Amino acid sequence: MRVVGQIVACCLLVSACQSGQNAVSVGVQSTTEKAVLAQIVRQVIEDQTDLQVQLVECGDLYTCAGDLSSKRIDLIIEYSGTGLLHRRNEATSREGTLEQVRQLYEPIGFRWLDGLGFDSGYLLITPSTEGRARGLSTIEDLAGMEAGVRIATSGAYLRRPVDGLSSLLRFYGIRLRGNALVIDDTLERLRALHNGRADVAVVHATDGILRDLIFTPLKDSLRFFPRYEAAVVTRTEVLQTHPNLAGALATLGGRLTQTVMRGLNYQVEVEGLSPDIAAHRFLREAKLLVSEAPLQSRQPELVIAIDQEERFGVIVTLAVRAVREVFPDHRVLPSQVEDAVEAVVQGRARLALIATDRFFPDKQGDMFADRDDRIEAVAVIATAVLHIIRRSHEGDVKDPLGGRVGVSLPGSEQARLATAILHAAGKEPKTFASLPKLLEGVRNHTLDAVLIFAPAGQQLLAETLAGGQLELHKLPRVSGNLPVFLNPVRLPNGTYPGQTEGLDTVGVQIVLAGPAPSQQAGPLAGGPAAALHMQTRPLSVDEANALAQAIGIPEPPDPVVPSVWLRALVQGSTADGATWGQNILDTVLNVAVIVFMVWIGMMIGRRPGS
Amino acid sequence: MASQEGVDKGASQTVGQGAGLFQIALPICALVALAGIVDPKGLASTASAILVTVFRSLDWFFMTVVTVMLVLSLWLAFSQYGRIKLGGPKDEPEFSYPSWLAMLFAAGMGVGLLFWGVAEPLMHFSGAPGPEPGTPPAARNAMTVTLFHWGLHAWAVYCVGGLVMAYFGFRKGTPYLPGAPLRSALSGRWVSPVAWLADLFAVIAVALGVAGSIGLGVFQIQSGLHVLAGTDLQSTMMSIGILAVLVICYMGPLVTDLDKGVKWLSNGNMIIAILVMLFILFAGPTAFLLRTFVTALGDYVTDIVGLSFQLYPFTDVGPWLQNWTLTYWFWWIAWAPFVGVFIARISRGRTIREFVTGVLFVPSLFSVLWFSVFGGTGLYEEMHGQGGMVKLVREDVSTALFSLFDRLPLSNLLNGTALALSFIFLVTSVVSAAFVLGMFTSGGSLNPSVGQKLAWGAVLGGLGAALTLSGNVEAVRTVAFIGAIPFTLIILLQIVSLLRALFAESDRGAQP
Repeated sequence: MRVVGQIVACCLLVSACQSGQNAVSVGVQSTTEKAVLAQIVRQVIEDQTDLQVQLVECGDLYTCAGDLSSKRIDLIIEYSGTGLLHRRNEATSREGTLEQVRQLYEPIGFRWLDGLGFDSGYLLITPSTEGRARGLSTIEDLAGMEAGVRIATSGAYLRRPVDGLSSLLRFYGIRLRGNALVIDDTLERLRALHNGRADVAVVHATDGILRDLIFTPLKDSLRFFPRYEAAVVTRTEVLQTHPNLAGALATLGGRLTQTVMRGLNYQVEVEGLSPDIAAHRFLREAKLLVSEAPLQSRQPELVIAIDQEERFGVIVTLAVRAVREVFPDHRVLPSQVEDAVEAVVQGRARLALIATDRFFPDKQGDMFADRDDRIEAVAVIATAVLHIIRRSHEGDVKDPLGGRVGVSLPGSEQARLATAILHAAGKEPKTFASLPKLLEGVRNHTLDAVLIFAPAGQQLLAETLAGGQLELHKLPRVSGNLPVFLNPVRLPNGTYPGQTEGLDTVGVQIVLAGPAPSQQAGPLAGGPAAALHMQTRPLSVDEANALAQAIGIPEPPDPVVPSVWLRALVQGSTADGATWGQNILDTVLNVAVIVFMVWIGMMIGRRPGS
Repeated sequence: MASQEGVDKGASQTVGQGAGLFQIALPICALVALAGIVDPKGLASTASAILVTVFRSLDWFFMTVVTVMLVLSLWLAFSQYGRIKLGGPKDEPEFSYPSWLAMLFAAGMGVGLLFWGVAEPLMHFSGAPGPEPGTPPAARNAMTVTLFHWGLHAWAVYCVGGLVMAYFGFRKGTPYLPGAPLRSALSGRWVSPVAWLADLFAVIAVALGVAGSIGLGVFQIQSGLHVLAGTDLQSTMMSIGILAVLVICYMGPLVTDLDKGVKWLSNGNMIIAILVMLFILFAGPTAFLLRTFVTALGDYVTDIVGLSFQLYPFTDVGPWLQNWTLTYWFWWIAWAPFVGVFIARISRGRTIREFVTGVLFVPSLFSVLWFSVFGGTGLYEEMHGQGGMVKLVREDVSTALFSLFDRLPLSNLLNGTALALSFIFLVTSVVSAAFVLGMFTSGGSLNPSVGQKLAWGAVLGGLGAALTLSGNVEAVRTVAFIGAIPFTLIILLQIVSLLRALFAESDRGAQP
C-alpha cells in the first residue's frame, strides 16, 4: 500500500510538474499561524479553481522569498511589516501598510495581494492588575522604571534584526534588569509573567494562548513597530498565468480578523487540531467554500471535562497541553460540562479536570464511606492553597476564621472547600461573592475575612497583599475534623510581598482524573467483551507517567484519592486472594460438573438399542 | 423397540410445546431490559460475579467442551455417519453453495469480523501470553491466537448446534426447538421440564442478545458517522433516526420469504466484504499479506492441538485466558441456539459430511484469509509502516478499522463502505434473529408466519430502542452472554441425544 501510495503520489507530482498549468505551490514557514494560513489558501484555491496546490516547506522569509523569485514556489503568506523591514533596513517610515510594501516589491516582480484582515504584530503585555498598579499603559512608561524592566521574550524576537528586542530597547530607552528571560514557549513565557519572574512579556497579537487570558497590552506610543498585516505574496506573472487565482484569493480579503486568527491558532497550538482541519472548519463556517467538499483527514478527539462553575484559568491550558503531549494524535478539547465526573464515568469525556474534593461527593471526606471510586487521579496539575485574608493592623487576631467570612460564588470548588473548613470550625460563611468583591468587602469593613483557594503566589493576591491593607493568616486549629482531601501546606516566607514568616495552611490538589478500572473483574474488565466501551478505559501507568512528565510537577496524587499509581502498586502485590468460601464453591462446582459429565457419558454408553 | 417408542413419545409430547413461549419469554425479556435500564450497575455486577466464578473454577470444563465439539464434528464427518443425509432421501439442498455459506457467515460472525479484523491481532501483538510483546515472534503468535479464537473452534460450536437441530428436524421430524432433540431421544421425568427450559432460555438469550446488538450497533454507527462525517455523537435525535432507519430496513425483509430477504442480504454482505478484503489485499502489501496468510495458516495448523488444551496452569497470564479465549467460547456458545437453528434451517438436504465441511472448514479458511489480510495489514503498518496502530487500537478499538483505511488509497470510499457494511450486517442479524425467534415461538415451525416474525421484529426494535435511549446496553448484553452457561449443558445433552439417535439408526441399519 505504501508502494502504491508512493506511485500515485509520484504520478501526481510528475503530471503536475509536467503540465505546470494546473498546479501552484505555496511556501509554508514553520510557525503555526503560517501553517494554518497556507491550508486556508490551499483549500480556497482548490475549491474555487481547478488548480492543484502543493505546500512546500520554505524556512524563513529570506529563503521563501528566494524560492519565490527562483520560481520554486508561487505563493507565500507574509506580514507587511516583515516584508518592509527586509527591503529597507533603516528605522524610518515604519507604517508598513500594504500599499507601502506593494510599491516596494512591485519593481522586483512581487505582488502583495489584499490583506487577509488581521495584524500579527508584537505586543508587550503586563498582567492587568499589576499594570494598573504601576501606572503602566504604554511602552514608554517602561522607560520610567528606575530599577529596570524584566522582560520575557522568545529567542526569535531576541534575534530579529530591525524590529527585535535590542532595537526596541534602544528606541524607547528602556533599561533591562538582568538579562532578558528567553522562553520560546508562549505559555511558559506567560507563566513567567504570571509568577512575577518578569514584568513584561513579548507576544504575538494572534497567539492562541492569549485567548483565555487577561493581560494589558502596552501601547506602542512612539510607533516603533510597523503594521504586520498578513497577505498573500506572489509573482506578478503567476497571476497572469492563472487568471482565476486572484479572484479566488480575493474572497479571503479581510475575512480573518484578529479574533478569528487567535481562535484558529488556539485550536492548533493548544488543542492540537491539525491545521488542515482547523482551516477547513473555518472556511466552512465562514461560508467561503463553494463546494461542500468533505475533509480528507480527520482526527480523534479527547475531551477534558471541567465543571461548569469552575474557573481554573491558565491551569486548563496547562492541562490541555500536557495531555496533548501524551496523546499527540488527538485533538484535545476542554469542555465545560454540568458534571465533569459523570462525563468521565459515562465515557463522554476521557479525563476530568477537578479538585480532589470531587472524589468525596458529600464533602465529609471520609475516605472509606463516601469516596467516589468510579474515577481515579492520573496526574496533579496544581495545588490550590487556602488563603485566609483579613485587614492588617487588627492587632492580635485570636481566631482568623472569626467574624463575617466571605467565600467564593456558590457551586464553585472554592466555595465548597471554604465552606467545609468553616464547618469544621463550627461556622457558616456569611457571603458568597466573586473574588474582587470579597476583597473589596474586607477592605471596607463589610466582611472580616475571606477564604480563597488559589495557587501559592497568585498574581492577583500578590498585588492585593502588596497594597498593605490586607494580610494573610495561618489556618488556626479547628475543633472539627478537616476533610481528608485537604493537606497541610506551608507558604514559605516571601511568597507574598510583606510576608515575613512561613504560614501553615492547607491545600487541595487539582488533578486530571480518568475512569477507574471497572470494579468488576472478569471479561467486562478486559478482552473483547470490554473493548466495546473502551472510552472508559482507565489510563495506563505509562500514560500517567508521561502526563506527569509533561506537566513537569513530580507531585504524586494525594493518597486519599484513588489513583493510577496506587492501582499499580496494589496490582504488583496481590496475593492469591481465594477465600475459603471461594475454594469450597470451586470444589462444589467442579464436582457437580464432573458428575454431570459422568452422567452424560453413561447415557451415551447405554445404547438405547441394546 | 425402546428407541422408537421414545422418539414417538417425544414427538407426541412436543405437540403444542413452545406455543406459550412467547407469552412467558416476552415479560422476562422486558423485565431484564428494565432491570438493565433502571439498575445497570447492579445487573452488570451480578452477572459479572457469576461469570467470574464460573470462569475461575470451570475454565477447564468450557475449554474441554469446545474442543470436544471440534473433535466430534470431525469424527462425524469422517466416520460412517458422514453419509447420513439431513432430510429425506428426496430432499435436495434449498440454497446454492455460495448463498448457503454467505448466510452461515453473516449469521455466525457478521459484524465482528469487521470490528476485530484489524484490532484483535494488534491487541495480541501487544499483550498476549507468549513471546515478548512487540517482537516479530509476538506478531506470529498474535495471528495464531486470533485464528484460534475465530477459526475451527468457533465454527465447531455452531456446527454441533446446527447439526443436532438439522438431524432431528429433518430426519426425525421434531420441531425446530432447542429442547426437541432432548424430548425425542432421552427419556426420564426430567426431560420434559429441562427441554422446556432449554426452549425458554434460547428465546430469552437470543432476544436479549439481539436487542443488545441493536443498541450497540446503533451506537457504533453513530460513532462511525461522527468520525466520518462529524455528526453529533451525543444527539438523541440521531440515535432515534438510526433506529428508525434500521427498523424500516429490517421490517421489509421480514415480510418476505427466507430465500428473498435473508439470502439477498447475506449475499450482498459477503460480496461487499469480499470486495473490501480483495481491495486491501491488492492495494496493500500484497506479497506480504499472502506470506502472512500462508505462515499464519501453517502456524495455526501446527499449534491448534496445543492451544486447544492450553489453560496456563503453570504460567501467570492474569485474566488473559478468561478475558479472551473463554469469552470468545462463551460468545459462540451463547449465539449457538440462534445460529445453530438458523444454520439447520438452511441446510436441509445436505449430508452430515457436507454439512460439517461447509460449516467447519470453508468458514474457518475464510477467517484465516480475512484475518491475514486485515490483521496482516495492521501489523505491517505497525512494524514496517508509519507505526502507531497499536496505540490507536488500545485507545479505541472501534476506530481501528477506520484508522487503517485512512492509510490506504480511496480511504473515504473504504470508510463509507465499512459503515454501510456494518449496517447491513446488523439488519441481517436482526432479520435472521426475528426469523429464528418466530420459529421458536410458533412451536418450532420451519416457516413461521409473517405475523410472528413481525411481532418479534417489533419486540426486538422496542427492546433495542429502550436500551439505546437509556444508554445502558452493556448490562443486558452480559446477561445474554451468561446464557452460555446453561447452553453448554443443553448442548451437551443435545450431543448425547444426537449420538444416541445416530447409534440407534446405525444399529437399525446393521440389522437388515
